[in-house]
Amino acid sequence: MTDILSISAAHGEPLPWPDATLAELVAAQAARTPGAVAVRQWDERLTYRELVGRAAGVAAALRERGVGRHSRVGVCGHRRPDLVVTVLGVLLAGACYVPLEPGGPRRRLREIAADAGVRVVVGDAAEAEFGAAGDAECGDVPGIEALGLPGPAPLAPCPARPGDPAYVLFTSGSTGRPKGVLTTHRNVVEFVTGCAALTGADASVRSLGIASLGFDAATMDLFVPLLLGGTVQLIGADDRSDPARLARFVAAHEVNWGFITPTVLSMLDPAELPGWRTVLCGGEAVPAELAARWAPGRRFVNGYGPTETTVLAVTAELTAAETDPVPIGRPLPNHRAYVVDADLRPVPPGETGELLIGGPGLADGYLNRPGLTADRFVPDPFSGLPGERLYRTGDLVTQAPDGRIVYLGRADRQVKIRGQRIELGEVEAVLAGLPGVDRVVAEAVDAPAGAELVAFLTPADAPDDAAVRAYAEPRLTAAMRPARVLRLAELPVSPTTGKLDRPALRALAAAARPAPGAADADGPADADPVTRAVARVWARLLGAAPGPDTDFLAAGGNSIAAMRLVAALRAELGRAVDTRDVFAGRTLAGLVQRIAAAPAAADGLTTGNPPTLSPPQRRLWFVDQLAPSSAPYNIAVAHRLRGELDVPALGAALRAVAERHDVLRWRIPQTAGVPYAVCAEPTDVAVPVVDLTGGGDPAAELARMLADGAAHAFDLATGPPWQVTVYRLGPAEHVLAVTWHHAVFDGWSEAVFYADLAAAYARAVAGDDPALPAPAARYADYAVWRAERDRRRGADDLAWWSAHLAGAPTVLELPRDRPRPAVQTYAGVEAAVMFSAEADRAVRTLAERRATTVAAVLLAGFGELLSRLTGGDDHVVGAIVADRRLAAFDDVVGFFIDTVPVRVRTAGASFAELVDRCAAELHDATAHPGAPLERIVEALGVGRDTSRAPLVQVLFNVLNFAEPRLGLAGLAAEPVPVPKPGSPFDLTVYVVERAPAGTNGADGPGRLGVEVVFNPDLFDADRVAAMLADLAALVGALAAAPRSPAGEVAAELPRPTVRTAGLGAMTVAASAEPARPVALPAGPDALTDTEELVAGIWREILGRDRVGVTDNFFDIGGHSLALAAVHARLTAAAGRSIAMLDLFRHPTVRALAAHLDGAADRPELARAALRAAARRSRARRIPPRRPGGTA
Amino acid sequence: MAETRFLVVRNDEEQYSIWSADRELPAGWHDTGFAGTRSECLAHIDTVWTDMRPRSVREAAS
Repeated sequence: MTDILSISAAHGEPLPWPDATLAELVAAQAARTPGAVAVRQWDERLTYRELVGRAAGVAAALRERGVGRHSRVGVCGHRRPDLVVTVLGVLLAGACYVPLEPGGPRRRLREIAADAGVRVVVGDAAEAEFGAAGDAECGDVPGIEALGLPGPAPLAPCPARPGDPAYVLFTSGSTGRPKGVLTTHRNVVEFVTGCAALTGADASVRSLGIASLGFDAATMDLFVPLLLGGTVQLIGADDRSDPARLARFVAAHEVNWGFITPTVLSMLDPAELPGWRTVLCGGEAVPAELAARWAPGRRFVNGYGPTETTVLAVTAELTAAETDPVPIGRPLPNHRAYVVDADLRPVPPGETGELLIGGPGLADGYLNRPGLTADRFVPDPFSGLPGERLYRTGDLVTQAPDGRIVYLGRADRQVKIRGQRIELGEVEAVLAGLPGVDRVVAEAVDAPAGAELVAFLTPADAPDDAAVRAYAEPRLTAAMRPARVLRLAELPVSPTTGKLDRPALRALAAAARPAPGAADADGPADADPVTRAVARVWARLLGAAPGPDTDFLAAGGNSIAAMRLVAALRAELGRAVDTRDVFAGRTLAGLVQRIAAAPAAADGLTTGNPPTLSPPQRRLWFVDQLAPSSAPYNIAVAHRLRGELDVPALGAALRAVAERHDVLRWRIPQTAGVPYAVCAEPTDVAVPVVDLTGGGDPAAELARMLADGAAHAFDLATGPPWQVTVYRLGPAEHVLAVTWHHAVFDGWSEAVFYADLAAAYARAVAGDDPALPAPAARYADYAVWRAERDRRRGADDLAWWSAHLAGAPTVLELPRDRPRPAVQTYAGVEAAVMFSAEADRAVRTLAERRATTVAAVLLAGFGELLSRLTGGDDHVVGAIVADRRLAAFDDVVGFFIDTVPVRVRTAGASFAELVDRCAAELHDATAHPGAPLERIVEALGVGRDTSRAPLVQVLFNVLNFAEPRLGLAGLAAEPVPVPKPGSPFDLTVYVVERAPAGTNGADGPGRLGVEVVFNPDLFDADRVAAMLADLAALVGALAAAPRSPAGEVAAELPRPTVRTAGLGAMTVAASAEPARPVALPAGPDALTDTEELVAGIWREILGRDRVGVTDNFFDIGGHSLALAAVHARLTAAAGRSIAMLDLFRHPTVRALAAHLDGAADRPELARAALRAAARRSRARRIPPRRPGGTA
Repeated sequence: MAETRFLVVRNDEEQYSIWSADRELPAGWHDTGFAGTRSECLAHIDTVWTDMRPRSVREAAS
């Protein structure tokens, strides 16, 4: 190498990289960490095992179709985790993928597919875009087969070699034809190795998967995490197109590493995203101001690189102190950069020249374009490495005195529009094909919404805007379509050179732009405030005030401008407006109309979110896993319907309700012990009709069947979470019974469900379409809104709960009749008491005087009863809170209930003081919603125990929904009592208000009372009946004497039999499980194979370096959902089913291992299987690889 | 102004490129014997470079 100091040159450090294909490396990663999450989008997660297994299915299906090495396969998929499956499947088949973006310009996509010799297009959008239906206008590409995603298959070796192409990305071509860049596995593996070394990325990377697959940045988004064992956080199309949603996605997915364009980054707030530790920014020039905002407190890297050099070739770590133009920096490892003149001779440092890049990131060239390849990839005269090539970037740069390279502009007619590289020549060549157009020139000009394309057409009567748009849409990508079209009689020519005068054209474009800030920038003076506000923001962003029918896109609006518009409108109008509103509304008037219909954006509500589980749903799912055969969380109702019931109309109406409330169509399957939601397509709702008219005792039969239906065990993973049955009692008498799983329903939902059912039924009976309008928000929108709220408030609220409950007892033992079963049984029986008229009056009077609710008075009375029953003065009972805090959730069916622990301290108080304390408790409990119960349980370190629910064993339900009434057209409906199918608590107390016996309840308030569901495996019915009677009497007495010390009032209550437990009942029953011989470890320090297996899984799930064999799972960061993950892993490793309860029963590594070794029917076989699993897991536990260390 | 003359050159991976006829050929590149203007050279490459895979990859495939 000669004197490089005198020329502009820079070299990256040498760094070896693995000589393997992408598919081999991801498969190897999957073998090391099969249970680690590879791809996530909200609740949808793919582990490495699932990713590779499903990709192997794609590969197998492709091989069946003759796809192999050097085949090129189109990938056409939506931005769902399946997209990564599809990509990896093509690579596993040994083929090279060609991204074909769904919804892209059809004609262009088909030309690309044909150019690339694609015979198969695979992905979840392949059928829709390339299927047999074809496209009348564009015509079918003959010989292309569209293939959806097949199921998983066993992994077969990848036939590709590292030097084979991995993908072809098509970029704009100056001659009017897109050119495909051939990138090899080696290119990508080398890049990932260098990029990981540069940014310190490792298995903890949670990348932001934001780039479209057709852009080289997607390589970084996907393969940096996948080759290192990290996770791709793949953002969906809706979340990507809106800055608020993008920020929420980044925060909720704990993105810590990711590439983003400066335009999009500028719309985010660094203070909101402190966890994003490594920000890679590029694709266009990074303003110094942006670096100043984002660099403090994190790593901020400016990344530069054309597709022809894989992804990034030159990078600079930026600080807050940069000045424009900021440097693009120095070459990545193994890469070289030179600055040369037009004759490819080096220029001295400080002078401007074209940037040439050399190194192993250089693509093979352009697909089927040898001449073009030879022109852009030239012999390297500088490095002395024989036969090496350099890529001519066409970018003008200079090398600063500190050696860093600074980007200055383009040497040719390539421009960047919204981060996408576009050859003006391609736009011109395409538009020249439009009949009636003589000459075309395209120029990029600065505009308020960023650079925009302006097309100049001759002659003066060239086709109008609509014709140009219609012609451009199937042929050019959105960024390549002209934002404005000007028609000229002839093009301006420079008098000195005789050539086209481009500066004159750009001046013309600027002059033709409507003047900003015109008098009507506030919209018509008589317009309403919303119209004026939209017009004002629109004018600011697009530089001209809109008329009512001005089209947003025609006025220069683009996806970035739409993002800015909605962000501004949200802030200004407080409406939940979305970018989709902009594109659907299109005109000012259309947009205003949609904004008027949009819900208020209170607290950052977003709509259109994919199915997402809320924390309460996860808790219920977990209980469901723990006790799969019981139904403690069912909600069952029945109504007697008199009159002519139209069963088909009822079915159609139920379908309409389920269409409107998509949560009723959710399924909750799991991946590696992590539950997630998917939504099934609407289908007809089955309405079985059971005819009871023939039987001997229809009433008894009905009661039995209602009880059975209420106890139905729903399979949340596979089936609908609700069911309907009609019992026929006569020609004009039916009973309609509905059972829901609580995970998709609550008390409030009942009224919503009935109202919607009534509306749909009325229409169906009348022969009309029963379809119901879409709701303003859906349950998933609540879950996403809540996740954001909990993220914001979680830490503070949890701290409040921890302090508030410090020292409180976590177990509440009421005197009972039988020993507590070792495993909670979830059985439930009902009982009730109504208050006397005097007690009712006293309670209401006291509530009024203390300015609180009767619920607070009853809770205080219940607290006093607890003191007398347990002898303690400090108890925790559960209360429930309906988390329907936004008006948009009013009409949404779903599970919005939180159980909150309420602390009732009775010591030394008058009843009035007690009531005040309880009122404050209930208020405080609703004021700290950011920490769900399981987090509180975890924070308090409550010991787990299979015999009872953690922390809350007694629930005091004060939510007093007015009993909703079902009213179906032409039918008289009255509720039929349905027995509660079970209870998750020892005792649940409902505060009720019922019409007193003997009245019709039509006038005046009802009588207060208490209904309970108790567990008959703990309590006898006699005890509960006596306790309720004494509670009613005690509450009445306390309320009548609120100033007396509560402990002294009616001291004889409750009666001794209620206070006294059954003989020997206050114990825990022995486990039914017989003792079995277990394999003991060789010594105190040695681990059995099974212990090692269990400990390994714990370490991984809990993210700990070590766990002790006698550490309690719940003391070292374990919680119920982590337990579910351990359960899934352990079941897979052992190859047999293990009860989740056993993990609860044996919460240490040693105890669980001993149990597993001894618990199977054939202990010796079980031990052998576990030993084999342990060996496999040991083999995988190799030291972390250094990047590139295995070359 | 006379147009620069170029050579069509090839490396050991049988990748083609062009190189100014009046400059020393970089190490590892060989003159194929075709010379002409830039566009003549590129047009020639379009006809002779029929398999664009590097030689090592092509040979591994067979």
